[in-house]
Amino acid sequence: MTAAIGVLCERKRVEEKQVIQVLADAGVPAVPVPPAALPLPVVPFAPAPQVAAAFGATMPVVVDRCQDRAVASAVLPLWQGTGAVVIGAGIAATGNRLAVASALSAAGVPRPATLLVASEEAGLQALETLGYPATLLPLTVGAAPVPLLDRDAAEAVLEHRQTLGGTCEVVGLLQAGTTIGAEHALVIVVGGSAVASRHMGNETTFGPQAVALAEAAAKAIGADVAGIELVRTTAGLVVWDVQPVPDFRDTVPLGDRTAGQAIADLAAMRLIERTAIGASQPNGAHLGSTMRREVTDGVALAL
Amino acid sequence: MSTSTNVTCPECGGEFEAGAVEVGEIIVCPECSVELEVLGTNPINVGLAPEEGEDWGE
Ligand SMILES: [Zn+2]
Repeated sequence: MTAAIGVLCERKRVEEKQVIQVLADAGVPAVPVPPAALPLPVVPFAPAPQVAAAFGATMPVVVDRCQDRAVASAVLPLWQGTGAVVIGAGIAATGNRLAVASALSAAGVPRPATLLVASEEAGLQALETLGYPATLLPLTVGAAPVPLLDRDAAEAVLEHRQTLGGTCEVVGLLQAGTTIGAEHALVIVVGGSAVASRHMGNETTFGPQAVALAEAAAKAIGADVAGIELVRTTAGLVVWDVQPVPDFRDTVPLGDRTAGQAIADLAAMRLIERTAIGASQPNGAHLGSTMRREVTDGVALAL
Repeated sequence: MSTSTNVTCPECGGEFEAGAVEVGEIIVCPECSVELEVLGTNPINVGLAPEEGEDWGE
């Protein structure tokens, strides 16, 4: 039975294609796995034969590229339960924005002033403290943030959400400020290192401080891969939000690898570690293209 | 007059022939299966079809 890297994704978008292509070029088998296609056993954890039957390979390593985070948070723990190494965004992969914000704050990573609100009334009260503009970030990681530019807008949004959506739609984080018109960038961190970035708003002048902040944020949430959104506020550079499965097709590499290559390298390295063949590469080491070739050749031979 | 109806999928980057389509029509990318909305026909222009579901003020 062959071993392959499973790429959990509903469909092969540009990002997933890149990762799979880099692995294929290096001779490492990688298979797209629709995260919601298979029923997974809750206990005992033994889906390996099921997965192998469905996809023609066992998957000791899976890369989380699920766009549907509700599905991801349900299935990722089960994949981990199978013994698979899941390459994902740590707390941001299965936790909510409150868990992410709490972990960042606990690690001393600077964030905007934030209050958790669970009702329209609490929201309006929080905004008296935070001031305008502010932004409502729904608890579900990845759900679109809602800028609240003034009290009229805030009342309309919060009332609409509570009336039509129910309580779950008003539970969220209210953050001081907005990304509109701000210096705003997405930094892709893979295996502990910032590998690529792109501007999300006004032209950014972020330098080494931003790289260090993004890497600290990824470490704080235990992420192998994450998109860290940085914003420059009057109080300085802050981590605004975390994207568990960032789009990276438009990012610019910070070094000699694209984000897709970096993710593929990390997945290949984990596969080697997991299959205990050629496992002499240190954990978290960065595979240059030459070393990657050697390492992945090892995997290809072993498979 | 013939107009090219070659489409590049914004989701997967795949290219395919859309054939005769109208603005507002929903087509499916044969490569990644995402639903695409035809936004214009001359030249042909597509975007991701809007997700079904409530808009909570985003
Ligand atoms: Zn497509």
